[in-house]
Amino acid sequence: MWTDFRLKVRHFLRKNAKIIFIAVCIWSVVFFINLFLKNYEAPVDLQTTYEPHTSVMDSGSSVPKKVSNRVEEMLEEYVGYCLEGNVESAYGMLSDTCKECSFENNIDNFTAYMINKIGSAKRYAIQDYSNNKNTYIYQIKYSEDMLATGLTNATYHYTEEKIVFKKQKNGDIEMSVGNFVDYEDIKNISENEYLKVDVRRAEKYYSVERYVVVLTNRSDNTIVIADQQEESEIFLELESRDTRVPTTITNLVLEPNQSKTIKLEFAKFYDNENEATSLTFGSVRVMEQYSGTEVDENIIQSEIQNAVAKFSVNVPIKTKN
Amino acid sequence: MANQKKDNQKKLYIATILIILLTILAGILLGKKKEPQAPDAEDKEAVEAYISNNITLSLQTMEERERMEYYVGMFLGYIEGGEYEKAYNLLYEDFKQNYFPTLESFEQYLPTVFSEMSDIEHENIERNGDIYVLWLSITDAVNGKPGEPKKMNIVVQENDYNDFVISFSVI
Repeated sequence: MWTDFRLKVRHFLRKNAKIIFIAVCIWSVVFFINLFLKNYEAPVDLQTTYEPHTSVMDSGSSVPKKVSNRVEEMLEEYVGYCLEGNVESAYGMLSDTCKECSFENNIDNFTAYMINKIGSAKRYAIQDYSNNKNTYIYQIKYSEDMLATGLTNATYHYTEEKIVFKKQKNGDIEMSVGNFVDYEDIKNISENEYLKVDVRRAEKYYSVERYVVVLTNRSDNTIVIADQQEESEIFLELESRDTRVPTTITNLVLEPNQSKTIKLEFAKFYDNENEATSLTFGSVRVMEQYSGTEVDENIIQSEIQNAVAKFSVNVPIKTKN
Repeated sequence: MANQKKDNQKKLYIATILIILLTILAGILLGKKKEPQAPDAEDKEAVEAYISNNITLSLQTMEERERMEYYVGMFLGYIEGGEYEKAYNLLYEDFKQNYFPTLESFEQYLPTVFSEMSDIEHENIERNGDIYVLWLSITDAVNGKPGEPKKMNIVVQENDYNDFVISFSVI
């Protein structure tokens, strides 16, 4: 019986010698890899909550490595120019639309802005704030060199702005400062026999939208668009049917046949997908007699009642982010 | 022909057995993970490296805020323990140049703010990029009046675990 068993084993080994050899080799390789991994101590990276290229608004959204590298280079270059007072080079890095909308193509406006924003700052910290398709909005905090002073005789302080990086179709990246993100031509007109309202464009900043509007009085009477005497004089309507009033109190009176270009600013975050749909001037009054608002209330009411016409103007302005 | 086949098979058996033996031997020799051994107490450098390694391992388990408070505690601990040079070496280079260009000037300043034993209260912490600002309230634990703690900012930059620079508001 024992001999029979030995013969069977020998027969098996002879028949499968190659397979057994290969199996042992594989087992040995796996064994050594396992041994190596067991003894390998991977370097532990420093864990912090600071992730400069991950969006604050959506922690699942990060800036692609290629873009984030370029962003860091551009910021270093831009802040470097600002700190050394090389205004022309810093201004030259901005997108044309940013120069036009934020600084009216005037480098002096940019200089004043830069001095106010960066001043004597020595350090800056970047944080990806919000991403939307090829638009990457970073928050930049400028501060003194706190490590060099230890905040001696100083309080913890920084200034901040949103700097926007837009990847173009050709791969270039455009940079805009001062919270400016984008602008859009609207060119929608609404008019009647008294008033022409021409909404030219929307300038989109991170937390506000500004509308450039040309108002033309076609009558020989005074037209009052806003003087805080009526409800809902000017408002922006959003997709959700929410409305926004201008961020600053606006008095808007047109003399007979006068034309005015104004900028109306409304609070609206760029990354809020609730888009604006229309701009409404809700209580336009065509007045034969207008004495302003610094007169007796009875006079104001009497003049409103005697208005030649009273109407509202709604201009569709639906834009796409 | 049959002999050659037998020979080849023999070689194959021997190679297989050798591989098995070598693998088992390697497993016995290398299988046990080496635990860091406590160094000889007289070898100061080895002792410091051992302690530093343990601190690093401990820091790796801490949250950011805990680590910053640990660094501040380490800095103030050096001062309380009279190890001024160690505390001085933790200062950020530009801060040293601005306020304490020499170790002596640092040593002269310390008694005006820190006592032999201080109560430290961490009031707040903020992160600005990779810089941390901490707000501390320091009371002299022996002679201090409880109502009059000294307020101090400490600024920390952490390069890696147990690798940091520090500065503070000179009061």
